[in-house]
Amino acid sequence: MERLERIYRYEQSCEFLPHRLKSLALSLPDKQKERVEELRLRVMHPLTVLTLEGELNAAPDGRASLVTAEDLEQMLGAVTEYSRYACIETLRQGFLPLRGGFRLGVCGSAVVRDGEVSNLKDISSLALRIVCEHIGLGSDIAPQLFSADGRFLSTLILSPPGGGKTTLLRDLIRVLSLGDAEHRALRVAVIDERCELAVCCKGRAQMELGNHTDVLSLCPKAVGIPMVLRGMNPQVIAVDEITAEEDIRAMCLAANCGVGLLASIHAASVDELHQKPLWRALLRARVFRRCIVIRSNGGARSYEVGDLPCSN
Amino acid sequence: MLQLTGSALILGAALWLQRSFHLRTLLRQRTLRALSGAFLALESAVRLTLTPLPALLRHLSCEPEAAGFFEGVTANLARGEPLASAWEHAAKTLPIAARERETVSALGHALGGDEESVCSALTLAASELSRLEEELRQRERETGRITAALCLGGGAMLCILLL
Repeated sequence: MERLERIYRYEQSCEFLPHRLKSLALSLPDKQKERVEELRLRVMHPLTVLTLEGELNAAPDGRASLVTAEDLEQMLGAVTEYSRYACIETLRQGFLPLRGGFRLGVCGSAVVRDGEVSNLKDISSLALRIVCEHIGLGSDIAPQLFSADGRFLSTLILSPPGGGKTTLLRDLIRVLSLGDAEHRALRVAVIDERCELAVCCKGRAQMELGNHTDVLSLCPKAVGIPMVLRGMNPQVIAVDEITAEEDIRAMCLAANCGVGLLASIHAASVDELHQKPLWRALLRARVFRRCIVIRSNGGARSYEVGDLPCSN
Repeated sequence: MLQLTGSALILGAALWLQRSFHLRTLLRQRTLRALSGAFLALESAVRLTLTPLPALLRHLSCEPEAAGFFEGVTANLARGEPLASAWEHAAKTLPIAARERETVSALGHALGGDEESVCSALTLAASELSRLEEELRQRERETGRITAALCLGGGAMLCILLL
């Protein structure tokens, strides 16, 4: 079933391609379709697909799938409804959330005004990310994130880039928000800074995040956390990829208000976490009690839940 | 009697010709004015709401002379045409001169940018069409009477020759 779902998602993503490239992309064998994570379009290069093994040509004859500048302009025009000004907030950050939960990365020449990117022109490449949900991934893990008395313990998810942090984080949000026989549903506020968790499109979350989840999109974490604390009365705040010390400070504020935290960070292991400058801030904050380390082993992933050494 | 009827018909045809020139010019003026007003309304809508163009065009309130053009653009977009091409094809149906049509068509290529560039292009196009409309009105004032005189004079001359 999951295999069919992935093939279907791939074919859905091909709907965004210009007609000429769409038929080529759809001719990919099903065995490869189910493994595709991204479709990559670069001017004067063949259309490629990104899998765990790397980038492959989408068509056997690479010349037939050569991408032109007009293809990119046409595709960008279609997804923005020929109104880039309406999507400029995300476009100048280099991406566009699409209906169906897909995400389009955009590269080109930046138009800079007053020191800020105001637009992208002369589009040179596009990366269409096929965001897949993995419903149920967090079902067995979530119960391990509660204390004996039923309190949610703030949890940090560790993995290298591309390790599956966002997919796990998304499903954990869903599980916490729905609750189960042993744990009641929690109000979860998601600060979706890069629109990767909920993938909101026109105010509607494209991913399943549960019934008691509130999403703040495109907002920096350090700004969004106080906002949801003041306005949404969350029991858990979820963020993806802690990258700055101000993120830690905002999370301390939330922790001091008695709110649980669920976050992810780039690190292959707890040892690697020790090497990061942010580790000292995490140590000082003593906010996180549990950690989940995602390990990749020949295409399969394992999830190790344990106590985070910086806790008391 | 027959000659009088014939003369009346010829003079009537001359009047009809003069009137049709005048009405065509009036229609051109009204179309330019309607388009100019609609572009300014679009500019305000873009600034205030940042709504995508297809939705703005569907709900744009404008004079009947311009409504057909925007309906045409919307229909072409719905068929999957790119904006610039949809705009240009719709502009071909407008009852305006080639130079005016060029101004309208060129706007289609300028609507894909950020808020500032889109609004500037709309304001510029509205201003240019207003200027062309004023030029046309001036020309009509100057040459309208000459056209009327030529048509009626020609008709009278024909009557005299035939009589």
